[in-house]
Amino acid sequence: METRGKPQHILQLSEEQRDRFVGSFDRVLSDIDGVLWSMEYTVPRAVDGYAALQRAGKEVSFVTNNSVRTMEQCLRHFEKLGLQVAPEQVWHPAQSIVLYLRDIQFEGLIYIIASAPFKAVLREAGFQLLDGPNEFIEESYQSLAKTIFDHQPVRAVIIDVDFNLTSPKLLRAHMYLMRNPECLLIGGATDRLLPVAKGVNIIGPGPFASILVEASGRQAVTLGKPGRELGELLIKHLKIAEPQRVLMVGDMLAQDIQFGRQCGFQTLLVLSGGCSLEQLQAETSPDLLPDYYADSVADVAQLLGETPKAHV
Amino acid sequence: MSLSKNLKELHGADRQRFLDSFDLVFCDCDGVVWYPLRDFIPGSARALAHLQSLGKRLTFVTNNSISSPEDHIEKFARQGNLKIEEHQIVHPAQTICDHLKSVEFQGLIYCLATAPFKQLLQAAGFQLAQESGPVVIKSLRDLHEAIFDGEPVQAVVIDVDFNMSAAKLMRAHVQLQNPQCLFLAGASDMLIPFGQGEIIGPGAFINVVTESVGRQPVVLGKPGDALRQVLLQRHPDIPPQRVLFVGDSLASDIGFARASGYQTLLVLTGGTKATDVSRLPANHPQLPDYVADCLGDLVDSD
Repeated sequence: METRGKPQHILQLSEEQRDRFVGSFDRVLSDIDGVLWSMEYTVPRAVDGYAALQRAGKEVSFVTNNSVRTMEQCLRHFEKLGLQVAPEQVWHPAQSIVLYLRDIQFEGLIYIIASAPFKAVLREAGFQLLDGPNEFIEESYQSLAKTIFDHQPVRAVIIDVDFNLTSPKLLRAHMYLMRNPECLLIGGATDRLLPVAKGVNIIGPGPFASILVEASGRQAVTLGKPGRELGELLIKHLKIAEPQRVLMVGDMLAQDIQFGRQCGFQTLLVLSGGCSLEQLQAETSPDLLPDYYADSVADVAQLLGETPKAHV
Repeated sequence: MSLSKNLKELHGADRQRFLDSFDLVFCDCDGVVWYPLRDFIPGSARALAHLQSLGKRLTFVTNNSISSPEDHIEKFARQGNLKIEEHQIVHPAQTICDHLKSVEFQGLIYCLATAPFKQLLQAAGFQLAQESGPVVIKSLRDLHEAIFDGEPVQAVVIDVDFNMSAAKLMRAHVQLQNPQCLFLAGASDMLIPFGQGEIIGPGAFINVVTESVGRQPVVLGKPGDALRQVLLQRHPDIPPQRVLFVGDSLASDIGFARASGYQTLLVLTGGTKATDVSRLPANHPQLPDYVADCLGDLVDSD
């Protein structure tokens, strides 16, 4: 049986450990927010880490839970930082849901609670969406009934981040799930809390998806990290034959590290985002403990820069 | 086979013994006295009049603050020909108002509830915070404004809000980071009977805040512990076993009442079906002592 030690800082590895680590993976799956940038800051020299990984022949893809921005916005942000990233390299819940729905040959109406860019991805892929109400309802049970009782044949409910999420939307989604036992429940981002600034968290999308899970008694198909179905999708579409030769990099224990562990990937936590060293040290669940940690992805550049070239 | 006694099967001396076993009745309204927000359920007015004529004290314990106490009283009079007074109606807006007075609360309140609920607090002299930021949130900047730009508050109150929103809950969560800020909740049902089934109730939204903040609210609606204490203190002269609690919800009424040691009667005119009861094992905390098809069965014994 594999025994795992305490997470090791990648710059505190012995030369031998370092060589073994660097040679142990071919592919890197990396989170974006809190790793490269956040709402308020850019992580210094994080791009150097990815440039070094690419020079070392590692294949880099990004797996984010953030579908609130458009792909164009995301790629432009990479470019501004001096990193060339192709659209195929970026995975986000809206697009993963499109792939999943195509894989299962889904046909029919979808009721969706999500941001405008998220909905645009599904519409462009040809799916038929219902949403709303997009304004506040009159305060009465009559108007609530009119809003939530709807007989359209909805075959999937999708929930991700929606800045304008309201209770009538959740109640309406719950009705579709109760009316049709075959109706799928599909979730994207799962974060319980979202760090928006140092020490400031806001409620994330996870608790709202959980309301639907608990009220309907239905399991959700989760295509954001740490969803099992996202892992299966990635492994299939990236043709990952040896999960242990994949390194998952991220700043969130419950999303990135748990996801990586679940998929059988190696895991590297960076302390540039939503998790502090104290939080890492206080973590006891083996499902949430990374193999390695670093102050930021910039440390990876240093790690690789000092690696002998002879390594193949 | 249900472990609860069916009222219809109580005859003669058994029925008399049952009627003699309580002095006070706590009675839910929606789904028990009347169909939610509609007419009286046949037989319930007669049953309530019968209880009054037997000298039983009657208090209505409802989670509905959407209708004002005046509306309730008028409905009792007009549809049921029953004279009910304001002090006989216990509902979250009032219990929260009483609680705020009892702690001599001063300051601003962020209140997520319906207009009648808010009006009751304002009429009692409490100040409520305004919503901040745009109505439709188009960007992270808008969201930031909605969450962070409002005035700081000293209490957060959550009850039924037809337009509960993520942004409101996020603002509540941010305010509750201040350990001095009071956290009060009214109706806390996870699910509410509505139409042919159940809809998500206010409890689900309260839980989002509770889990995010890591702090429990004082819950002054059913099935809250603080409300249980309020009810126990209302009639200190009557021992709990001489109280009959009547409701239509296993979680919000029966489980709630059993925790206080009251006798319990579940009526099947609301959100619970007979099979929901017969499924319960003997030691289940939501198992009612008695079951009836409707409140009218308190009178009819044929």
